[in-house]
Amino acid sequence: MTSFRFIHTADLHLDTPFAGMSGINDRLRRHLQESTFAAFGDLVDLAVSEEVDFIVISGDIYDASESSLRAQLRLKEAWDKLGLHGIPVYVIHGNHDPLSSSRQRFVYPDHVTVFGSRVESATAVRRKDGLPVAVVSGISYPTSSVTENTSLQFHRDPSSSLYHIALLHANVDGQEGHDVYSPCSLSDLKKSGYDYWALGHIHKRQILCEAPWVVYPGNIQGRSMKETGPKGCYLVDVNDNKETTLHFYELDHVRWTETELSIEHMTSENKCKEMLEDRLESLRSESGGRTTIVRLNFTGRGPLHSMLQSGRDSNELLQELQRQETERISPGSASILDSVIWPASFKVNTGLDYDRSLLQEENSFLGELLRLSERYQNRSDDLNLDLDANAIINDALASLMDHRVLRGYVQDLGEKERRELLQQATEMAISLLVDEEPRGGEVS
Amino acid sequence: MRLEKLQVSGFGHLHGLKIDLEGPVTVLYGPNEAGKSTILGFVRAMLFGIPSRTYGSLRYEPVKGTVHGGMLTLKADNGAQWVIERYAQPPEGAALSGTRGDRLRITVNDAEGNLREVTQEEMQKVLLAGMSKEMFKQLFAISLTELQEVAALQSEEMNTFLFHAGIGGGNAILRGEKKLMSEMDKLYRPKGRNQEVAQILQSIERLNLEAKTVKSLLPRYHELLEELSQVSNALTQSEEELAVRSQEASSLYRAVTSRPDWIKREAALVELATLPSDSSTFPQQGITRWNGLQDDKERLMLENSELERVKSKLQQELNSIELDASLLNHEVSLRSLAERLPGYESRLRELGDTQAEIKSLGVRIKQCLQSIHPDWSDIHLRSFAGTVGERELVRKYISRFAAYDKEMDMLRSERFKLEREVLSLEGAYTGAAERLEESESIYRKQFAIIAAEDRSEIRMLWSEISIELDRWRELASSRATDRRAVEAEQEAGARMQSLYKKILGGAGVLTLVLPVILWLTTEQLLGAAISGIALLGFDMILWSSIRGGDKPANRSKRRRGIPPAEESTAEARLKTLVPKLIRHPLTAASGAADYSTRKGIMDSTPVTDGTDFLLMENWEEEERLLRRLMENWQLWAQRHEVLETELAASRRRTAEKIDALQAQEREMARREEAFSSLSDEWEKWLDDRHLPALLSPEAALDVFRIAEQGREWLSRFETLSDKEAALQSDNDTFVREAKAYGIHFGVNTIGEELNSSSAEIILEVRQTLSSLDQQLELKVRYELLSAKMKSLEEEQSRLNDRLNRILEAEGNLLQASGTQNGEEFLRKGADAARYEELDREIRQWNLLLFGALDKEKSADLETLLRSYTEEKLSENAENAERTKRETESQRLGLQERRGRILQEMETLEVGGRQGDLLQQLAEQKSLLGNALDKYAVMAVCHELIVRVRQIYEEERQPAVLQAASSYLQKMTGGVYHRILMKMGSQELLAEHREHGPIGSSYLSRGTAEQLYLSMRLALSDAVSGQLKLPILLDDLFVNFDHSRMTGALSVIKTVSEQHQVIMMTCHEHVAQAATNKLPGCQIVRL
Repeated sequence: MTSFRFIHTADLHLDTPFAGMSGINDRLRRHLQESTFAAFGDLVDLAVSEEVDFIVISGDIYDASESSLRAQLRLKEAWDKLGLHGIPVYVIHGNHDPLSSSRQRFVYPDHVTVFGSRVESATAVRRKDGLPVAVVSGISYPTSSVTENTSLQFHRDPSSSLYHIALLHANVDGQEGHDVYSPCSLSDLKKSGYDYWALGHIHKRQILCEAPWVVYPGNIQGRSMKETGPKGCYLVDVNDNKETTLHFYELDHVRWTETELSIEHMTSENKCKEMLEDRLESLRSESGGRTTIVRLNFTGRGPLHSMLQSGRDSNELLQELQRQETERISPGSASILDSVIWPASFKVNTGLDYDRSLLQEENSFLGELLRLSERYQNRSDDLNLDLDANAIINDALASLMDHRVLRGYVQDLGEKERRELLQQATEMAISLLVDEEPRGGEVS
Repeated sequence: MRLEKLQVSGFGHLHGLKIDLEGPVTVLYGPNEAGKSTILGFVRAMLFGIPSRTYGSLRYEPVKGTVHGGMLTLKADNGAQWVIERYAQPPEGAALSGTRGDRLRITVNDAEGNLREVTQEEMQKVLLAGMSKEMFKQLFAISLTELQEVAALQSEEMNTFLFHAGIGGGNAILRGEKKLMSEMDKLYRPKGRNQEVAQILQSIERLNLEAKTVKSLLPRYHELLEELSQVSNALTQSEEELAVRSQEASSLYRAVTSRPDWIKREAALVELATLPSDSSTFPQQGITRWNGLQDDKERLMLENSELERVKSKLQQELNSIELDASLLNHEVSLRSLAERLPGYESRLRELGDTQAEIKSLGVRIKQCLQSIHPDWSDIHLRSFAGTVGERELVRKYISRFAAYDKEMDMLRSERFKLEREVLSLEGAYTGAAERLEESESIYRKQFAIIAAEDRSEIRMLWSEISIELDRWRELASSRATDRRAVEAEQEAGARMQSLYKKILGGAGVLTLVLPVILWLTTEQLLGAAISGIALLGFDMILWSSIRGGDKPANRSKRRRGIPPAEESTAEARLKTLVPKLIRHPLTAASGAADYSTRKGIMDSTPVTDGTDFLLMENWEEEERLLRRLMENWQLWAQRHEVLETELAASRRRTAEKIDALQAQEREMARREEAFSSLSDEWEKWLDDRHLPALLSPEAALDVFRIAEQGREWLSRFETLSDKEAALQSDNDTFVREAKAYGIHFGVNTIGEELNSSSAEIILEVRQTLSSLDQQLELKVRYELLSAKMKSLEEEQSRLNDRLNRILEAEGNLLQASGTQNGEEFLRKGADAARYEELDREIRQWNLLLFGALDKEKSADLETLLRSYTEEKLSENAENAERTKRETESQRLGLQERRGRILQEMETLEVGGRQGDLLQQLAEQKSLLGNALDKYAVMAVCHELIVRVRQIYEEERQPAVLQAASSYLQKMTGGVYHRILMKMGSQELLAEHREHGPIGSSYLSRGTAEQLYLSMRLALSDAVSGQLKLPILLDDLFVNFDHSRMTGALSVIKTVSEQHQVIMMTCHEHVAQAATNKLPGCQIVRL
């Protein structure tokens, strides 16, 4: 057995846009757009500098639906660079770049091995002496949707004592938040006899198992608030005894993060703004110079709730913060683009400082309203709102249903969102009515 | 709770009022200004404090300045008794307990009898259920003013209460709803275009469209890639074909283009073959060389003949020159002769001059001699010694003669002077004598009266007389002659007066006439003036005499005392003396009468004196006249004596001068004698020197000068004669010499005549000389020509040499070419040249045709050219060219296409790298999501509110409104049966039995007030809850008709079951009705 090292990465999603951003200026936008490429470029550089023997990419290199010439051109450059250094690449196609989308990509050069829609295997060699070190197997998605458990096709070659690596784009154990393509279970993988499962598809980095190694490296660059935290790839070292060591390398150029801020004890808008700025500054100092996109999650109950809930005021606050940040990245100040902390959005989970249960008991309009809302939310405990509640939401959004684009929004509302929606609406009603009407005397 | 007792200490104009309130209803009845409203205010003030000064009228400051405040006794529902004592803070007092600084005491005596003090707050809380002052005012202590305040129902406090009570809150809900709606509208509206969502949708639409094109980039790129490879292949093929085609075409083309040259080459080859074979042996450049030789030969021949001609011409010229050898041989001697010729000529001229001068000198000498003396000759002249001594002598003579003349002149003038003096002295003397004589005559005329002849005698007499006169005057004064005084005086006076008048008349005329006459006759202005003045003075005297006529009479009277004796002696003496001095006065007077007209003073006095003198009595007058006469005489005597002395002096001087004259005459005679001896001496000197005797010494000096001049001229004459002779001899020598050489001297004159005219000689010499010069010139020219001749001959021989050499070269050429003569040589030369030319041309064509080609191609070309005709060839070439061009254009098209593809790919690459549409799209989507989230929350919220409102409106009938409805129904006797309140609005509606709901603002005043009253009563019921507060109504029924009032009272009755009611009215009928309607009603009259 010979030692070797390789890089395991997946879900490059080159040139896919960043979701949930607005109000950014051109400069920042270019930076964001460039970030997937930059991360990929870093990956290539890492491969070169660490002198890896090969790279495996477990699907979703690009988004066929977002077919981007740029992505293909940049990809070609990267292949060329790796080719120049003699680093082979093993690639499978995932749900976003299925084999059927061949028109959306360029022809692969020779040192890039692509596995077909059936499991195929290749033998990888050590670069410095050309010794065979591993059997790399993989299977690509022929189309964007694969519901078959393709992991079952992997079988270790019993005749080979080489290290076995499987490339699979799949949702192991039906993880939430991702389409359940190529569904399989961890035990399925364990059975196959492969030494290392190089998985893709799930963007969250996780090591499901260490014997054998079942690894999601996550994507290399977060692109939305769902993909927070450090992103990168695994450098895998396999020694003579097949002992495997994983080392994570951050590659992301833009990091997404969420920070929570309680409005309790916050009395004025200025105070709030100061705290926000302080928070952004502390994030900046933690960021290590990396561009960070932050969502500010307001929690707690306090008088500022109304302001935050009022779309206009909170928008203004956000825009002011964004403006301040934009000034930092205006063309005049060139070099600090990296240390931008961009407040992308507010998440308002606050309420007025009222005892809701007390209000609820009140024999008043608001009390009546709260009771009604409570009834809607609590009648059924099985995740589903009762019919009335759904009816309320549907009635309220009836005007949206008339619009062919907006209809989709209503239809996409999940149970959870609906619940939240109701909750927020109730809070809004409270703030509206309570704000307007001072409580009456203690007339019993 | 109920009010039991009001004790007003001082409040407004009330003081010391005490009212006990009993029964459920109390009617306070009183006329206007009885204090009903004040009581209402009092109750409010007791409960909530006396309003501060800022409220002015509400404060009810006591009119009479008594204590401000009072006491209120209440009974609580639990039976406890409350006493509220409240006084406004006295201006100077310290603050007591109480909210507004009032003096306040609240005591509670509960049912058990415990007494304690409570605070305002506690009181308000317990008694009034924490009701605010405003609310109390609005609901429990109502005056008409408050009743009509519709707004009162909208106060915040009330609203909250109504809201909680289940009837109100619409306002706030509506506001909330509105706010929601407007916010939602801003976000989204169906069909709207300007809302946030709509705008985001639009931009998403737009971005989507753009994104579509971006997405199409990649497929397009793929297409391009494929196309590119196809095109590249086609291009490669096309290029290969093109190479073949262009090869063909170019060889054909070359054949076509080179065909004319090739034909020419062929022709040249044929011609070359026809030329003789030995053409190549012709000497190199033979023709040129031959021609050169021929040219040289021709030229040399020409030069030779030219030389011959020049030579013969020169010879001719030489022959024409003749030279005179003899003349030339004498050249030197002739030259010297020529040099001396000017000398000869000048001597001739000098000779002439000298002779003329000699002649003129001779004449001058002759004249000189003549001027000295006619007899004089050269000898005399030469012997005349003009020495200095002689000259000195002559000069001495001259001075002596001059001295004599001078002396004589002086003497003559002196004599002349003396004679004139004598003459003048004689004149003076006669003048003096005349004057004396005149003086004498004057005397005789004037002083004829004077008897004495001798002047000294006269003087003596006069002195005596004057002494006597003085003495007599003394006597006369002492005794007066009285007797004749009067008559004498009168007579005398009269006479005097008349006389005086006459005289004055005459004198006046004289005074005027005499000066004029004098002035005219003598022409002496001064004299006339003097005489005029004198006469004038005389006139004055006369005039005064006339005036003073009576004075003497007075005087005479005074003299009357004088003794006559004395008088008579004196008179006697006088009488003796006077005649001695003067003749008879009368005569004298008569004698003087004529004169008196001419000689003033002298005349008049004697006249008067004369007349009076006869009378002794008139002594005084006489004396005076006498005195005056004597004074005049003395003056004359003095003058006369002077004249006498003058005459004597004149006579003496005349005699002296005559003596001097005679002496002068003598002196002159002596001088003339000396002069005649001198003259003789001079004449002798002249004679010695053969000079004319009459010559004066001055003239002799002239002779000296002339003689000297003559001697000078004489010596000059001699020198000139010598010079003439010398010149003559020189000239002769010259002529002789000339003749010695004079070969050419006038053929006839040589040797015969020396004196042949000098001019001729000169001419001859000159001619000879000029012919000599000619000869010399000729000689020079002859020599020059000879030299030229020699050089020409030399050149001719050189030419001949060259000619020979050329002929030799010619022969060589002929020999080399193997020809016999020139013609043949030339013909052969031409052949050789043609051969060479053809050879060169062929070589050139070969180079042109095959130079750039290798052997194979050359052969191909040769074959092509030989095997095809020209037409065929060009046709083939055209075809080949066309094919080539087609291939080429095909290739170009492919290249172009490839270029386009590459360019498009590049464009795609660039465009692909740049776009950020997808990101923008994502952003817009995110915006849309945010907006929709917000919208959804608001929409759901709105929906909730709407639903709750529905529930409210449908399910929950407001209790207050129900109560109010029943009240109103009762009041209106069923005309209005219901009160409505629209959700969200504040408007109250009264539902008419027939007309349906009517807005409160449209109701009649009375009905509106009934509506409000119903509402208030219902509200107060609801508000007080368990605590039943008293209700105070201040004259609210004024606008009610009877039946309504009755209705209202019945309502009050119902209310009073729960609440204590206190009504205030100023209307009798109200009070009456209340008494009738409300049993147990207490009427308090104020």
